[in-house]
Amino acid sequence: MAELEPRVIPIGPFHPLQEEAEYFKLTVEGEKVIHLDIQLGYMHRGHGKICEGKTYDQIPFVVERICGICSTSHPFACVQAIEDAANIEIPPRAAYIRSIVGELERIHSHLLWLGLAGHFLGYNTVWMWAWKYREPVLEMCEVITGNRNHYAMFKPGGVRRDIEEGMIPPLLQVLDKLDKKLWMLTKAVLDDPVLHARLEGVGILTKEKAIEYSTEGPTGRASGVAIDVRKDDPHAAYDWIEWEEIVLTEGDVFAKAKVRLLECLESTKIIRQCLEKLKGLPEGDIDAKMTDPPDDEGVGRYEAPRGEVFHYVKGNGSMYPERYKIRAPSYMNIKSNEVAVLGGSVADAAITLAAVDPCYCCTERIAAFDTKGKLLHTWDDLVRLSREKTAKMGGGS
Amino acid sequence: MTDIPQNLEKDGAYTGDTGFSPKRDSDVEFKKVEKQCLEFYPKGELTKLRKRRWYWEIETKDIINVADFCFNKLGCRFSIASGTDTPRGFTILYHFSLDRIGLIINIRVTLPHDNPEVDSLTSLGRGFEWIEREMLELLGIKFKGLDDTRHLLLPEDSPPDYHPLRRPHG
Amino acid sequence: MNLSAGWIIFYLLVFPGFLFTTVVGLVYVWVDRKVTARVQFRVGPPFLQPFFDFFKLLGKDTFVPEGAPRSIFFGAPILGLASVSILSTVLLVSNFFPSQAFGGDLIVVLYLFAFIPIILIMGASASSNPISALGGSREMTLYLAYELPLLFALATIIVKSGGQLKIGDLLNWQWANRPFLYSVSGAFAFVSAFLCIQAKMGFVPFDIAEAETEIMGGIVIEHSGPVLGVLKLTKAMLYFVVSIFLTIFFWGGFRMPVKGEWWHIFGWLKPIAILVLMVLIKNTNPRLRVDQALRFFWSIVLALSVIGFILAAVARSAQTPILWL
Repeated sequence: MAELEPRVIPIGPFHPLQEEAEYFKLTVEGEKVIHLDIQLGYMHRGHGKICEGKTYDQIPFVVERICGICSTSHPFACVQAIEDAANIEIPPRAAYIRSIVGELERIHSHLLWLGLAGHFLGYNTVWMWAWKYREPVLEMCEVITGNRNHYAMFKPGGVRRDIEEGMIPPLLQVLDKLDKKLWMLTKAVLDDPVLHARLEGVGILTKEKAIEYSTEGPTGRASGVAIDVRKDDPHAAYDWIEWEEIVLTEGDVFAKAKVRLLECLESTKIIRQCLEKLKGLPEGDIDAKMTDPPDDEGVGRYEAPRGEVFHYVKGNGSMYPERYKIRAPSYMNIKSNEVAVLGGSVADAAITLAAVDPCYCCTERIAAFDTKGKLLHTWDDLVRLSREKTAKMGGGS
Repeated sequence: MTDIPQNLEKDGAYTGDTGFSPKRDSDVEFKKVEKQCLEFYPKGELTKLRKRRWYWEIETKDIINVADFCFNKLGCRFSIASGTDTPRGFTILYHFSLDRIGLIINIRVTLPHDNPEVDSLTSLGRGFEWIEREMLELLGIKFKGLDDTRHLLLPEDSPPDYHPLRRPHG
Repeated sequence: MNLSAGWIIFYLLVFPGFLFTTVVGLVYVWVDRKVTARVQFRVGPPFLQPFFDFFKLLGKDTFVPEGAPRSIFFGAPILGLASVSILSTVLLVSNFFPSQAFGGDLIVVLYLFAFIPIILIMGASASSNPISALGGSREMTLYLAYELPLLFALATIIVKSGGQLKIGDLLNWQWANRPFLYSVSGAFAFVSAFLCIQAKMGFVPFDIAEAETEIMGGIVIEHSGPVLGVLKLTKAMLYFVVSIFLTIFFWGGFRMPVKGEWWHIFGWLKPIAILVLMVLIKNTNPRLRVDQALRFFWSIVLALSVIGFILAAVARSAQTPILWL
């Protein structure tokens, strides 16, 4: 066969692989990927800048809208950053409730990823089943917070709603049922021979590379980098209860799936313990009142389902922060695809790219645009621009 | 069925068997790290604002040495960097996370308004690239040694002197 | 075989050719979608949904990519549709009116079966898109993978029936003795042929050439409007054709093993049962990589069909042919 000519296979900006707009430019020889260029910017909304115009009470609501899946991770990190800056401790009741909401979100996010991963592999049955079992989790969220998503539970100093004594037994029941289904799903997925064939040894991220790219969350933990903010930098109720940090060493896509599935089971453990302990706690305050706006700078971080969410806030004594910086885990994880997809085939690249559980909305959020309300382009302009851009991207052969 | 890993060793600090993190009170470790830091770079001003949040003010020209010390010697993970436009100049906070003991070391450098320029850390690891590109386009801070200077978040056709996070001063 | 031209046209266009196959094929698509939905805890589409989908596509615009040769771009789907119509006519005429079949029609069927992927690859390479080129190359690899086991599987039943090359004769042999499926060698041949058909239909785990989430539909990515509609219709007709293909060659056609004409109505359930089996396999597997599929067909499936072939030869070479082997 003649020498294969390198060709560009675009994944994105709009592609069934991704629910959000992102552009991965795969350079391939035949089916083998030899280079990857990642281009961001399609989902950029400027949340950091928006936050600088909001009061500390409003910011959790704004950052909650960064992402629909990890809609409690950002507020979690955000309120911790503000509390760090203002130097306040939260009451234990609030700490437990925060952990419960956070872990519920982890389960539903991991199940969502599992479903999508199945879909990416053409295994739509796993997709539907995982999402079906995700339903009770969302219902629990609704019972606890009043919403299936975008819970608006957190405020600087505590939480907004209490979990009352009477709610706990039914929640525990749902949890037991959920546990069984999660075990069933975990076993079904981990014992499927075709999935093994398809995922094992695919898209390996070595430990060295994982450290070099500073990956975190399940992406890092599957490569043997034991980073879990819940363990490392204890906050909320995470160091008052017993749970394991799941770390594997293979670094391939299968390990990433395994880490996530086992983490779901750990999460149910955490929720159960939190609920039990909550039962033992006396009724009390769920909110340490924040009286003065912070004057210092603070860093808050939380182990989101995808890794460490990092929020930095700089207060100046006024009601508004001077600088607000948000960094979502995918920002560090997506970059590591540069090495993970190399040498694999296009078929593997698709699932490898998805294996970090990328969340592009989270990834890009820092600055604001100022278009001053002027109509920049007419419809015809836009059509022309898009054609030019497509030609530039090398869409034709 | 799959086996759940038991009691993972993690750099000697934590074995994960109890679920209770010994890190929360390992004052010895914190003292050791502080001593290491001060020995390596005594010129810097180390503020321990909270127990696990240290702020370390250093000179701009030494950033690559100090970052190398944190990233490679201490074994920190690079979390992110935040650039801010303040009246004194641009400040960049490099957030390094020492996961062993749950410490965040924030390294602060301050750059002048008229020619903000700092060494790029991409030589330490590829993970530094995106945030430097981001600061380049949003704040207009130049990074010496950064090869890839394309736009990351802004559209590729936005003007090169458009830096949305810059503020008017004075 | 003395058919008037009028009858031939009727056979080809109305029954059992184009029109009949279209309608039944779309019904089969509905069966696929409904079964899939039930497996996945969903409700599934209404009965007429596949028809609506097709008519909707007819009303849409067709985009022709820049630099695509129009003759191939439009011609390939039409050729595909035509060959599937002929295929179903030949198969069903042999089944319903064995006396009107012609000698060597098995060869024609095999030829037409091979023709369809080639047409798809032609259409893909005419779309001047790197992704459809990738899909085309995957389709080609897959075709090379499953063609040989399929031929061996058919050779098995030909040997078993004593060298019959007419579909009608193969059916008669099955009615006189027993369907090939109910013998050891026939079962081997059926399993390998079944897997080959799964790949030919582009069902998971072999939907490699279309792979929506990897290469966005691959070979059909540039097709739209009526052209896509024709491709979809061809696919729908193939649903029916491959099911009757397996029924006729391995399961004794539409006849039931009981006395009485009316019982044969239930023979129509046979291809549906095969379809449902295919759909279930499709829904309990993830997609393979193309190299894995190639290895699978050239090792396991080929071995199965070769074993079947050897067993059939052994059974035939005995003094009185052993029927159960």
